[in-house]
Amino acid sequence: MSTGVGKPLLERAQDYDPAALAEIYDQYAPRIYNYIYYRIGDSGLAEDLTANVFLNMLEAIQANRSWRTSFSGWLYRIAHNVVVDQFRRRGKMRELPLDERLVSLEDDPAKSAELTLEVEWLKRAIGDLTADQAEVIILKFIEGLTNAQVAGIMGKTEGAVKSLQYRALASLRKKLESEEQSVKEERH
Amino acid sequence: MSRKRGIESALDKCLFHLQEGDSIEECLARYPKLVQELEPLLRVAVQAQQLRGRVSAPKEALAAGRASFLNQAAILRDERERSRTGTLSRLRDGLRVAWAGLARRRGLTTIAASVLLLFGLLGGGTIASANSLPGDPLYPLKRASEQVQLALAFGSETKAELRDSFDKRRIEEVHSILEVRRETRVRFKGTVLRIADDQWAVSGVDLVMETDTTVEGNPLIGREVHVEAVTRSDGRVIARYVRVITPVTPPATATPVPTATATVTAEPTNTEQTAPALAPVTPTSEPTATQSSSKRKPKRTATPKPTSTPQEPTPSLEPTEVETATPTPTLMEPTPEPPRDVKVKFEGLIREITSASWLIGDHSVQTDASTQVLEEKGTAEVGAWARVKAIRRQDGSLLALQIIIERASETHGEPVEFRGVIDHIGDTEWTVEGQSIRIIDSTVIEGTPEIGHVAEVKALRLSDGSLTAKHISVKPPELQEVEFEGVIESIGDSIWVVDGHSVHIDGETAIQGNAWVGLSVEIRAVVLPDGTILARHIRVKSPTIEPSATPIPTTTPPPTPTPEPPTATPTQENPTEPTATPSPGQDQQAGPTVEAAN
Repeated sequence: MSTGVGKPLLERAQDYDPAALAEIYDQYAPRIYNYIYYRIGDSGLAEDLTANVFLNMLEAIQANRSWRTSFSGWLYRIAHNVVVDQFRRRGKMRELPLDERLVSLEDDPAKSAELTLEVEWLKRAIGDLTADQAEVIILKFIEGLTNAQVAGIMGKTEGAVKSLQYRALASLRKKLESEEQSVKEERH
Repeated sequence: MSRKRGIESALDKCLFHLQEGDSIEECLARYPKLVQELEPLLRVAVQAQQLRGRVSAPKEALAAGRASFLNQAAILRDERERSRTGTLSRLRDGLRVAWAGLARRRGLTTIAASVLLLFGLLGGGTIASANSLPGDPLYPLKRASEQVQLALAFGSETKAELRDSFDKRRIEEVHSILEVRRETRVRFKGTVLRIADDQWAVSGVDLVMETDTTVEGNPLIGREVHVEAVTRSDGRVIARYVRVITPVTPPATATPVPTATATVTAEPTNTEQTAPALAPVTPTSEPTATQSSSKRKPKRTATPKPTSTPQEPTPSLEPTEVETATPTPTLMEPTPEPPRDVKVKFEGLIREITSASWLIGDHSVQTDASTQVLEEKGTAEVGAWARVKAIRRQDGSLLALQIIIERASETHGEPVEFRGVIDHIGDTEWTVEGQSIRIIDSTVIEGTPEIGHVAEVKALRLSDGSLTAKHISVKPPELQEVEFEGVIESIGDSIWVVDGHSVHIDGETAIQGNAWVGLSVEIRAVVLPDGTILARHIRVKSPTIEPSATPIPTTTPPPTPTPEPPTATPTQENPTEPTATPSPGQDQQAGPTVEAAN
């Protein structure tokens, strides 16, 4: 993933330049929201936590804990911490309600419904993974980050991320198969 | 490489190629022997990618978050600028608490909370703070609300108008402060209207220039300047720092000012005006009353030289503050303002050093016997970063008063490389394996810096022996697992001695069986980067002899480290991986918490 944010913009952000911060927010807020939403499965809470991520970003700048290398990795890391805090407070939420905010990318209503169902299975299956496995799936395949970025955010080595993604995909596959199986059984 | 490792690696490469646009079939063709294992995983990966872009954040929520974010940033920026922590810190915390409370309250949506907060800031709060002056508790709120207004304003024209009106407001505040005889710090922007030794006038504010007042740039009448000053109860405004913003005309010295021979000066009363009248103006026959709120008394120019019939004043120019006995219509050639020595400050990289002058940044600065060179932070040499206090002399040349070396040269020094455990992480200095390393802006840091992690350092050893890091690669500590047997020689609260080896015990060490000195134990442990053996599991073997007070040495060989691969079985969450059990405060940069609890 390209950060898309040049150095001058980031430097200005560190000086609380409103235009630079607004640009950063517009660029990253939707991604951070997606990441948080997939991790906790609650759109309302995801909205609040996304706001918290950006407030934490300002606090980190104020406390001279700004990014040193990758800005996007640093921001996702804040989001990761915010989610972890949330899990600690309330326990991991495994119920991922079907959300009306799913965006249909398909014109054909029948295909769209089918896809939405498939997407729903996927969301549910990701919600059933361990926290680490879910996170690697979200960061790597939904957010499109590189192994190095994922490793930085999760505090792991790239080698560990490779192993984790293998186990995560294998678990996800099993859960999807079992989901499919139970749907078939319900139909019979 | 084990088969599992081989699959993991092949999967990762296939995923990379998929990202690059290859099809699953093309990826699999590269690994014909692993098709069975890879294909289902790749299909799941592609399936997972379908979720990309499937969720979109509600626009209202993003807008609310944006407003809250920019609002908070404006407050922090103001706080930073003013270097005040008291009132603003409480204000910020209060806003944050208010925001969090509002946003979390059920039945009150995020957008509503945001709107309320914004109204609080732009509406009621601002009304209350509108008349506040520097030094008032509500003044920070007034400034913060201005920042919010600026951030939310659309279009550069609107923003420019707002900025101008805020600049005017700052000057009005100074006058108000002088009226109430308050002593406080003020900052404002205005146009230089008069320069006379220790008395300047900037947009209607009379400034007292003291010997320690710093002037940055080349001040000429008509130029815009930023002023930091303190007001005194006797009505004086003491300038502390004056920075010239932009030249009015290039070249700078071309800026005309009326001289003693000029009979009229037309000084703009509007502080928003960025450029003064560049040509001599038509005079007024009488001093004209101005609409300006300035309370400054008119200053008389030097002796006029009447020459001919006065003309009608030009209404658009609104000349002010000038009394002329007999005006003259003659267009006088403007005389450049007499140059004067001013103090300047700048900083930059030392590019060249000769016996008479230094090239620092883009400035050539002369030195003489009185120039002080302070080398506490590094040697004064080409490549070092220096802060300079100098005098700009009448001929425009710079004479250095002080050259302070802020950072040693990054281009000289002996390259060194080493690897070690991070003991300390600071903003500008780390300690790795007991060695202090300076971190500079260009230092590249890879990985997540954390105390206890291993850093591979590429640095330069400078002439003073200090190290400046060029590149640091941080890796989690490589913990080695060891298993060994031995006889317990002593048992302490946190350290046991087994066969002469100190074995550390912590809260996570599982001890199976009753341990006594003299009994044999099987120990599974990790070897920390500093060599400490930390036991994870101790099993006390059934005693074959009665425990005695005297340790009975055995012939069990000393522990041999047997490094484990960083991954375990695929069915577990990698229990041997070093990063699986994070230590508190893992990420020193990103936030308060570190790792998910599974």
